[in-house]
Amino acid sequence: MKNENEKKSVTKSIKMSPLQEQQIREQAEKKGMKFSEYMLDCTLHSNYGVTPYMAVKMQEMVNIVKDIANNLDERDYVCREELRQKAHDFEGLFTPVQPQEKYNKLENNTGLFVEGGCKIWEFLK
Amino acid sequence: MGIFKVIRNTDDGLQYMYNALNYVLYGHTDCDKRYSLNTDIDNAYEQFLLVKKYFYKTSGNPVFHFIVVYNAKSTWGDNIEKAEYMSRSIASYFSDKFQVVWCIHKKPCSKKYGGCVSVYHAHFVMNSVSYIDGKMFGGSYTEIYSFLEYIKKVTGDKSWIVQYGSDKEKRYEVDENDA
Repeated sequence: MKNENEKKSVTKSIKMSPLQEQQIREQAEKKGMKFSEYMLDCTLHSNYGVTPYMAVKMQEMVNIVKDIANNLDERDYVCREELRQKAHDFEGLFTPVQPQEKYNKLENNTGLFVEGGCKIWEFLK
Repeated sequence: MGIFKVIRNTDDGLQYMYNALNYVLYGHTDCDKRYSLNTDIDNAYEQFLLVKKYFYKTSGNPVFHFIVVYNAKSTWGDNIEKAEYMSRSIASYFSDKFQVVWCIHKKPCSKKYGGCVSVYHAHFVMNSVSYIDGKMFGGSYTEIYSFLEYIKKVTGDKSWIVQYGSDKEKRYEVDENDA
């Protein structure tokens, strides 16, 4: 059951010009939101530099890099093709270098990714 | 024949989410048999909660928890790689909107008169709040059966038993007699 304080039980009316109303409505439509939903989103989250979507995408990059780093020397690691497909987005990751060079490079960068992954969630606290 | 079991517990809120994640990630699971999409596996509870807080949806059903018991034929020859591949594919069904963690347990179950019914089953715990737009996962029959159709394709197993249960006593194991 939803908590009472999370139910949308309060109604407020606000004044605005027709032009303002039109602009807000258009912006809401662009985001696929309803008018009030969009206004709430802008008001409540205006101070957030990072959305959950951004945090999740960053986290997935971190997870992928960690997976690759952990599995690069395995001969038959699971999901190799899937990881390759995902990791393809990382520029320069699959340049023609020796596996050991790739591993060294990734090992150096993994620390930065992990650190960045943790920091990005801090924005949501 | 596989078993698709949906666990419902809407009474205990975040405590239930904590328990379910704890069971899946640490309870009876080897470190190398637990997986995640869209979240850090070691900080899943906190990251699930941050998404919920962002969208002001910390109450109600906190997670969608389900178990997929693979038919022994689906993982023929004790094939853990196949179980891993199928589990990842199943988790991917929701990954464009939700955070998911899962684990694979090995628990051979036998028929009454001999023969193996299943070897592996996977527990999945999904955040009920979407990281995209904060919409809650409804878990309607239509959604569940569409998902089941997808599981059939992934596993190549056409016949499935669907079970609904609550885990008030925190017993997630599938009853061997069910199989």
